[in-house]
Amino acid sequence: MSQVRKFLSSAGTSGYLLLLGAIVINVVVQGSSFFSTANFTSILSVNTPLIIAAIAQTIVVLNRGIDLSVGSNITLVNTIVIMLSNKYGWSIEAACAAGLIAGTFIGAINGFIIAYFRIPSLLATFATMSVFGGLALIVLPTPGGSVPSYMYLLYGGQTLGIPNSVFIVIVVALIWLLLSKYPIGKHIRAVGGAEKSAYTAGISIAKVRFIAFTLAGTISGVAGLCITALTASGDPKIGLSITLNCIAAVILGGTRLAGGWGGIGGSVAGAVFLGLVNNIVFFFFNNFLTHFSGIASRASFIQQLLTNTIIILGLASAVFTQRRKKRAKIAT
Amino acid sequence: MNQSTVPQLDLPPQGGRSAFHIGKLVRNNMFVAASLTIALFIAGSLFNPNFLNPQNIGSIFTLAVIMGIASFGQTVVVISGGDGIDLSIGGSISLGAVMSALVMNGQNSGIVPALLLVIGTGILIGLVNSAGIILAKVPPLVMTMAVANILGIVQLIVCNGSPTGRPAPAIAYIGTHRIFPILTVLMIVGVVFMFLARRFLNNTTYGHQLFAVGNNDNAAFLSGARPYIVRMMAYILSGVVGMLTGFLLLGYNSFVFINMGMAYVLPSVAAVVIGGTSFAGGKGSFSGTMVGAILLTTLASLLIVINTDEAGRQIINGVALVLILALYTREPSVRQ
Repeated sequence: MSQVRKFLSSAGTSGYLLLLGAIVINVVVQGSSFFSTANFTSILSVNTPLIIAAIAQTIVVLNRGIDLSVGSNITLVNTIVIMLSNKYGWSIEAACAAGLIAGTFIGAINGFIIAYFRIPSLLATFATMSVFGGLALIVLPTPGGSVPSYMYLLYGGQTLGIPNSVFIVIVVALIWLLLSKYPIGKHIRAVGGAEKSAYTAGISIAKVRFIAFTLAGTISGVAGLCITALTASGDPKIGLSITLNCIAAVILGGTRLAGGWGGIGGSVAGAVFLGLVNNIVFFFFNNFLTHFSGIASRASFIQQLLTNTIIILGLASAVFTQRRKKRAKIAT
Repeated sequence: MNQSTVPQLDLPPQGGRSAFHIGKLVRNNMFVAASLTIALFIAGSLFNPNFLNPQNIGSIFTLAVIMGIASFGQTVVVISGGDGIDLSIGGSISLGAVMSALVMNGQNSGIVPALLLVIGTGILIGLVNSAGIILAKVPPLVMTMAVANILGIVQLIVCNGSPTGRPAPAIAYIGTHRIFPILTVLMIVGVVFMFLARRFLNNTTYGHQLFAVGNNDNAAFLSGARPYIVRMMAYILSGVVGMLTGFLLLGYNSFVFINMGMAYVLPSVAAVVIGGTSFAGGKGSFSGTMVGAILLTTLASLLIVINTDEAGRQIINGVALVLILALYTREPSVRQ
C-alpha cells in the first residue's frame, strides 16, 4: 500500500497515468497493429525531437524559468546543418557538430541575457525566439535540402528490436540523471525551488541559471539534429509547434512551473502522451469517421482541432492532480 | 499627434505598492519612448527624405492605431496580474478578419451581423481562456498559446483553407479614407478609443478593481472585488478587442489572408513593456502602451524604408525587445 501511495505522490504520476490512459485508448482505436515493432519504431522516432525538447524544457523549468525559444533553437540547428552540408559541402558529421555547437551557443545567449541582465526568462526567450527564428529564415529562406540516406536510415532503424531513436533519448536522459548526482544538478533544482536560500547557502544564482539555459540549449540542439534526421531536409518553420508542445509535456509530466519540483521521467511520459494523442486522433478518423461526408473535406483541420483540444484538456487535468498539494488560499 | 499622445501619469487613485518608484518609472518610460520615436523619425528622414512627408507620417500613425488597439487587451490582461499574458490575440485578430470578411462579403448590410458574430466569438475566446487559467489553473502563457493554436485551426475550418470575402464599403471607408494627407479616419477612431480606454481603466469600478486585483489578490478580495471575475473579464475584453481589431484590420487592408494577426503578438507584448506596464501586475496604463505602439510602428516603417526583409524585421524586433527589457524589466538582485 505504501508503495502505491509513494508512487501517487511522486512528481511524474500525472504523466504516467495520462500515458497509460492514452495507450489503452490507442489500442482500442488502432487494434492489434499497435503492438507491431514497426508501429513502435515509427511513433517513437517521430516523437523523439519532442521528447528531447521536453527534457531540455524540464531542466529550465526546474530552475524556475521557461524557454520559449526551444522551437527556434531546433529550427536554427536544422537549417544550419542543412546549409553547411548542402551549400558548403561539409560532411554531415561536421555539420551536425556545428549544429550542436550552435544550439549550445543559442542556449548560452539566452542564459546570459536571463542570468546577468536579470530579465524574466518568459519575456527574454519570447524576444530571442523571434531573433533565432529570423536567423533561421536568413540561413535557409525556403524549405529544401537533403541529408545522406544513411543518416535517416540509422535514425529510423532499430537495434535488438529497440528503435535507435530511443537510445538517443536514453543517452540524453542519462546525462541529466548523472548531472543530478553532482552539485550542479542539485544547484539547478535548489535555485529553482528557493532562490534566496540557495543564495544564502553560497550558490551563485547567475552562474547556475546560465548553465541551466546553456545545457537546455545543447539538448535542444540534439533535438534539432533528430528532427533533421527524421525529415531528412531543412525547413525554416519546422520547430514552431514544438515550443508549446514541449511546455505542455512538462506540465503534463507533473513538473511544477514554479520551479524546484519535478523530473524528466514525467516529461518524457507527457511527450509520448502528446504523440499518442496525434496517433489516436488519426486512427479515430480513419476507422470511425470516414463515412461522414461533411467531415471528410476538412478532415485534416478537424483532426488538428481535436488534437489541440485534447492537449488543453490534458493540461487542465494535469494541473488538477497537482492542485491537492497546494494549500488553499482565500481567493483564487 | 506624437506630442499630444504623451499623456499625464495614469496611475489609479489608490496607487501601487511602491507608488513613488512606479511614478518615476512610468514617466521615464514615456519620455524615453517618445524621444526614441523622434530619433527614429530623424533617422528615417536621413535614409529617405520622403519619410517625413505628411502622407507617410499619417500611415505610420494609422498602423500604430491598429497595433495600439490590438495591444489594449494585452495591457488589461497584464495589469490583472497572476502572471497574466495573452498570446492568443494574434489568433483572435486572424479569426476576426476571416470571419468578418466572410460575413460582410462587400455588403453594408453585413456589418451588423459581422460585428455581432465577432463580438460573440471574442467573448467565447475569453471564456475558454479564463476557464483554463482560472478554473483549471493552467498557466496563462501556456493556455493562451494553446488557444492561439486552436484559433489558427478554427480560422482554417471557417474558410475551408482559403479565405474569401471583402469588407463592407463603409468599413473599407473607415479603414482607408484620408481626411488630410496626415489625418486618416482610423486615427480619429484611435483617439476616441484611447479616450474611452483611459476612462474605462481610471474612472470605472471595474478599472479600479483591475488594478487592485493585479496588486494583491487577497487585499482586493477582502475589499469586495472578486479576483476570478475581474480576471475573467480581462481575458474576455482581450478576446473581444482582438476580434474587433481583426475587423478593423480587414477594413484597412481591404483583403483577407490567413494568419493576418500573427505579426501582432510580439509587438503587443513589447508595446506593453515599453509603456511601463509591469508584468508583476497592478500598474500600467493604456496611454503608455499606445506610445509603445507608435514607437514600434515607426521602427517597423524605418525597417521597410531600409529594405529589410521579413527575417531581418523579426531579428531587429527581437533585439529591440531584449534591449527594452534590459532597460525596464530587470528583476531585483537576490541580495536586495
